Amino acid sequence: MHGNVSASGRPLAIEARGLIKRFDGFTAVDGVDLSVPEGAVYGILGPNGAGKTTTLRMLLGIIDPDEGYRRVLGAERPHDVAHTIGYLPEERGLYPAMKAVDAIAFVGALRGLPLKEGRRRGRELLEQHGLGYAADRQIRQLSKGMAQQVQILGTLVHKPRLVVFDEPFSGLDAINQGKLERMMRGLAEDGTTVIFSTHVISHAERLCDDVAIIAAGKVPFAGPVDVARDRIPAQVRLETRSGDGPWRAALPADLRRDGKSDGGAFWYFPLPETGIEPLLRALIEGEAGILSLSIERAGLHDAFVAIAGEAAARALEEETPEAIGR
Amino acid sequence: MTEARQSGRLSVFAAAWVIARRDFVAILFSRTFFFFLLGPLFPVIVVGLAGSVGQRVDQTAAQPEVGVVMEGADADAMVRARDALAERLGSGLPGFLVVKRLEPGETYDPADAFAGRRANIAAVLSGTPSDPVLTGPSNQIHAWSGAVAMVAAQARDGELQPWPDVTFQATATSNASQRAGRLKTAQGAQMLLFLLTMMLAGMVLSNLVEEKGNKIIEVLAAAVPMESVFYGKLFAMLAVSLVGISVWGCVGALIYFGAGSAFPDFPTPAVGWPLLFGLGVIYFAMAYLLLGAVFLSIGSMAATVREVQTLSMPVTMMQLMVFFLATFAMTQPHGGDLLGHVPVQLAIRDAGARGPGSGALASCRGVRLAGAVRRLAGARRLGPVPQARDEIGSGAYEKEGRAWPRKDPFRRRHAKGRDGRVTFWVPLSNCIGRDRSEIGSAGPVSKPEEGPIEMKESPDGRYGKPPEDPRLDRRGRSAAGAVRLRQRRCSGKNLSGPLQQGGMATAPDVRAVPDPARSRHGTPLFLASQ
Repeated sequence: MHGNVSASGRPLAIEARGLIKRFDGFTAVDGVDLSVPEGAVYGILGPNGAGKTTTLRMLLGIIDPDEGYRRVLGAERPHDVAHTIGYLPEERGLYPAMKAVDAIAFVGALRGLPLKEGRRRGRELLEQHGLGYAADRQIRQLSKGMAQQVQILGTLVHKPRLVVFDEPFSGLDAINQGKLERMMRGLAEDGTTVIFSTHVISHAERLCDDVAIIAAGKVPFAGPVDVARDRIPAQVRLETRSGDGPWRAALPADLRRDGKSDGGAFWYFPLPETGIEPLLRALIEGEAGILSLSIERAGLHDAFVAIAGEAAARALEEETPEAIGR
Repeated sequence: MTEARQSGRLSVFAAAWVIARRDFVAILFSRTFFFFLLGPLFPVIVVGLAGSVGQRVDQTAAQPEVGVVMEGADADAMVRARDALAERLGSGLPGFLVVKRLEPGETYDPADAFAGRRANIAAVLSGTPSDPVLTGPSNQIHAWSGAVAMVAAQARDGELQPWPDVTFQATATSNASQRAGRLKTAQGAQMLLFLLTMMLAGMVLSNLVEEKGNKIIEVLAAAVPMESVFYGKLFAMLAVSLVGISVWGCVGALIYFGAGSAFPDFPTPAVGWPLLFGLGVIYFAMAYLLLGAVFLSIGSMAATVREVQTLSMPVTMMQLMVFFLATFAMTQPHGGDLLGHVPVQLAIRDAGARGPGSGALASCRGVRLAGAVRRLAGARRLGPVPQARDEIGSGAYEKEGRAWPRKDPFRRRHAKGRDGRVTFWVPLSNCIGRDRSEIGSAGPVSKPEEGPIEMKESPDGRYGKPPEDPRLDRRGRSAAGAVRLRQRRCSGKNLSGPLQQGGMATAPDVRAVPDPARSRHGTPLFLASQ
């Protein structure tokens, strides 16, 4: 549709090559490449100050890159397709004196939706999300979370083909975070491309088909979440009744052993390249006494550590230690 | 997402309309607009209070007087002459206070009269009625030189000559009073424009800064080009102000019709009230768009309110300067044309184009738009246009190269009629003390008409012939080039006495002598003597 396609064969909603942005000599974004397939939920993962928001702003045309090339929904000037894009900025902003329904309609009007239709859809959306009672309240009369929900609905009122959320989960309680996750999945099912930035890995892990890991303005990894995870071999966790025997020769050399009081042991080692079946056969034939065996695939956090480095991972953990689901 | 999408790409102006509509409604139904409506009351109250206080101060402040240091008989003669003239001339003459009666042959340094500070003496008159010497600060002695000379002449001549009775024929107005009234109307209109423009530009700026603070600007910037945001905000405030002006107009009309004859009769402006209002609205719109665009540009560059204040101060100062220039231009109907064409918009356009971001660019476009409409509106001024030039004569004209020298001392203009005759115009001020042949012979006029210049009444009264002084050149400049004496202007009222007695030539001339002892900032003071 737009010329270029992703590795999976889907046309690209966003294509960016070598984006560079400098502020007063400081390079905030340093050669970012992105390929976001249409209909995907795409996460941009990185600690604060990594360049996520600057990248999104360049993609949306709020600022122009110093160098590089971008194409959004087939257009090189993002404002040319602004009516098909929804955007929720990191720092939320609504006119405090506006009614909720008018705020939604106004954001729609900015995207070319007639005001009357915007009001109608605004009421509809507010009803759908349990905020119908607040439709005629001024924004200043709403709680921060409710105001944020109103702004999210304003982002969607004109039925965009591409929705860009910048840190959408910050400021929302757990229930509303869950609602937003469901909403994002629903959008993707309807064919809308969703791209969001976050420093909470669990959200990206649960929602995203593809992620871009960004650290210090660079993107060391961009692609499917599974590929990121596969950067780290799966770990095998084995519990045996016997602590030793000829079967041990089947185990890889780089393992870790935790002894048990009853003579048995826990074994931790990377999944052999030959797969689990030959190992399993050797353990059974050697009468190791398998009590439990599990293969643990690496999480996105581990992948992040491996890709972006310990320092970036530590910065990520320091921002939201309680929110990282591991 | 089953419903069909109904949104479409907005053009720059459609997006500006969305922004403007929201801003217009939001401002119109806010407290800000209420205070905006009350805005004109504040200057009225302030001006009223200031005028009242100023009048009270003038009433209570002691009037400066002329100290007289002369021989007893001369001093008495001077005081008598002053009092006699004062009865006829009113308060135009300064008070005379005898500081010291000198004995025959006694000398006295006039500067000593200031040392005692016994009274509010601003200058000291010494010498004799035939040879008066006025000592004091240069501005004061020059201001009083005519009056003192007139009193001295009267003291010298003795008994006051009877003046002819003046038969009064009252008219509703005169050219002079009409012009003065029109000037006041123009000043009022200019002040209103200035205040309104300043207030609105400030409101636009604070509106933008508030949105930057609220982070709404990012929602706008992501959806529409920044040009649209600026256009929308600029024109929304313009629309708000037009609503405000309409409200004021309606209230004014109600008061006017309600008060009936009790309403004060304002002088009709030169172009008439309807055109004044029309031009006023157009000029206001242009001025506001120009200044608002600059302020928006400042707002786009500033991150904090403090930065806004810092950045906007030079612009505010510049606007004050423009205000003063406009005030000056109002009194200089022809010289003011040049001021009307100062290409402010070019300078701002350059500044805008080099500023960061598209905000400055948008502002620059706003400025260009404002400049274009302003040019369309023309360079006509609000209010009266006093006649500063007058026809002094006509004659056969032979062209010799250029019509006039490049630096024509008389600043002449000419026009050739169909009959081949040429009419000349010369600024009235350049005609003083000269006759037609003198002016004509300085240029390529071969057959100037002979005879003295018949000067018409100027807007500010009559012009007197300046004193003859061999040390001054024809432009009133001294040989040393350091001192330039202004041509003295007297009102008809003050001149009536001397003219009756034979004109200005009978009054003693004033001679300037520096008095270093009373000099301020190194400016030489002058003693007047013969």
